[in-house]
Amino acid sequence: MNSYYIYLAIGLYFILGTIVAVYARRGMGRGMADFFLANRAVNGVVAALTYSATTYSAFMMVGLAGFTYIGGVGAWGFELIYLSGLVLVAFFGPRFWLAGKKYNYITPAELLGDRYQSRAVQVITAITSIIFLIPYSAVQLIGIGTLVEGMSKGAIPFMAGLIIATVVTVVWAFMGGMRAVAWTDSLQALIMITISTLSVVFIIHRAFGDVGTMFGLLEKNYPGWLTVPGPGFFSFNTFLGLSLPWFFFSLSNPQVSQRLFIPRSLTHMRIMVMGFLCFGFVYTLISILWGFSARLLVPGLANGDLATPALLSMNVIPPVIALLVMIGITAAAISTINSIVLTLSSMISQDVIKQIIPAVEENNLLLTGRIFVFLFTLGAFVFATMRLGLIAVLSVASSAGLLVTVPAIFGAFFWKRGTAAAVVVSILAGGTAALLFQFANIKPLGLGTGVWSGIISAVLFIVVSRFTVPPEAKAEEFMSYIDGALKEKNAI
Amino acid sequence: VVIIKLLRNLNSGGGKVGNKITGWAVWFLVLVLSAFIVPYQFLSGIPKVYGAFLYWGLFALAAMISVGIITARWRE
Repeated sequence: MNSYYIYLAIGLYFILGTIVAVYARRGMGRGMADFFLANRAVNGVVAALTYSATTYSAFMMVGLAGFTYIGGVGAWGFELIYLSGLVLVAFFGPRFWLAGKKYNYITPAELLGDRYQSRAVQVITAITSIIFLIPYSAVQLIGIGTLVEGMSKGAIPFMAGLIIATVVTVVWAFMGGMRAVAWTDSLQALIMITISTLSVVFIIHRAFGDVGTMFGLLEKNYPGWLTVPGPGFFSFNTFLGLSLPWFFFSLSNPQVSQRLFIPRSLTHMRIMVMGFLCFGFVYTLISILWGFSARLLVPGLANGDLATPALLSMNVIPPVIALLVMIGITAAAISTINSIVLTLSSMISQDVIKQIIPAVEENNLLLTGRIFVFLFTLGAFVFATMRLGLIAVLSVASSAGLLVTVPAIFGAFFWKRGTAAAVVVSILAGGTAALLFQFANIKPLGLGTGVWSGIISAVLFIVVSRFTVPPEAKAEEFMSYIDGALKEKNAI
Repeated sequence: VVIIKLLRNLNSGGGKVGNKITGWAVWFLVLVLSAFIVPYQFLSGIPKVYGAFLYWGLFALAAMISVGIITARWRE
């Protein structure tokens, strides 16, 4: 494809997003809560769209479509179990929101640090998030660079794609914090869902006539792709290892759980949750149909990640559709990266720097946070330029590594006996196990890293709590307040 | 319809909050476990769109409806 059209499309996308970001930052205050949480006043529809755009990255139309291409219907099950993890928000959403409002928490790590009365808990939780999420962001950048390079057949080099994505991320996040990110995310979520839906409808109509015919061809030519373990990729252990850590993503990923602080009210949180569930179901279905289409139209690829590029380069796809799909995938990646760097910036300032220098003034803390928006994006950029195997390992380990914070979150709201020492031990041991198992490709009993990091952190959290002293007064005060407020709000 | 009625009953009335959480937790545990077990144990011999594909779709819809029922009672 002519590189001129690619630059033009990306330019229009950047201008449109920047107009939205400028509009969003009007009336922005100067505090930490204002910059990082949009002053806890985001309406439900925008909250749903930013939650969706943050959660769904370039993985959907490339990785999940590739999983479907290689492994069949198991990809659908894996992704829907991931989506059903939102049932946790039905219980934890009101608790996070009420606690955030009452105690002015900016980050999920701050909630844990205060609840367990421990700076160490707060700092370690924040640093764990940074270790696992920067490489994850780098992989998103690599995806954009590779996609742009492939689409232009090398006319736009990989590095140019990286630089464009990095600049877009920094400008929107630095400009208006959560307000700009939430509104540009909303724009990008609409781009993602509209373009992907139209593209899949177009391909199915053009190539097969209708969905029924497409599934008929699958049943006839690739029957294994409609069962599990099917062609073999989705063995039960692989399926469990992928699905289990991602089921808890709404609690374990701080860029997602921080969004539980931002809705204007519980009514708006309900709109956020239900809106995300509807968006997620449709976007998952679209990505799966995209993967099945690739299976039928471009069989014989050795690597599932090649399915989307191969499909886009077919004659059946007009160049304008291919260009739109590229913009849709770019939007999915950038909306995930800028949410991650914004959350990590709030964590480094609120959970690390403020704990080291408690007397720091809020405006200096905010300035530090904004500088880190730039530094974290730059860090992801540098990682991406290296294209190290290490990045892929850390990125794959991110779901397993972040899972280790979940026992502490359960304990914070439901178990008065949980202790700070137990949180520290469970996060450090679980996180180390996640890295070790992933690097050395260790799979005891054939189970994936995420299963073991979850088990290790949960067991250690319970056992160490039994032998150490909990912050009884804080636990009593915190949980009594939450229970009373939940009754008022009629939440379970 | 019967399942939805049962779930709505679980959501209403004056029962203890702890019991409601336990009731919903058991329902979700059964639902999620079924998503791991049923397609592998009972549907692996059905290479049709109404096999694992349909089951997982219905599973997700059941989870979405359940979340809708729980959150419908939240107050401003």
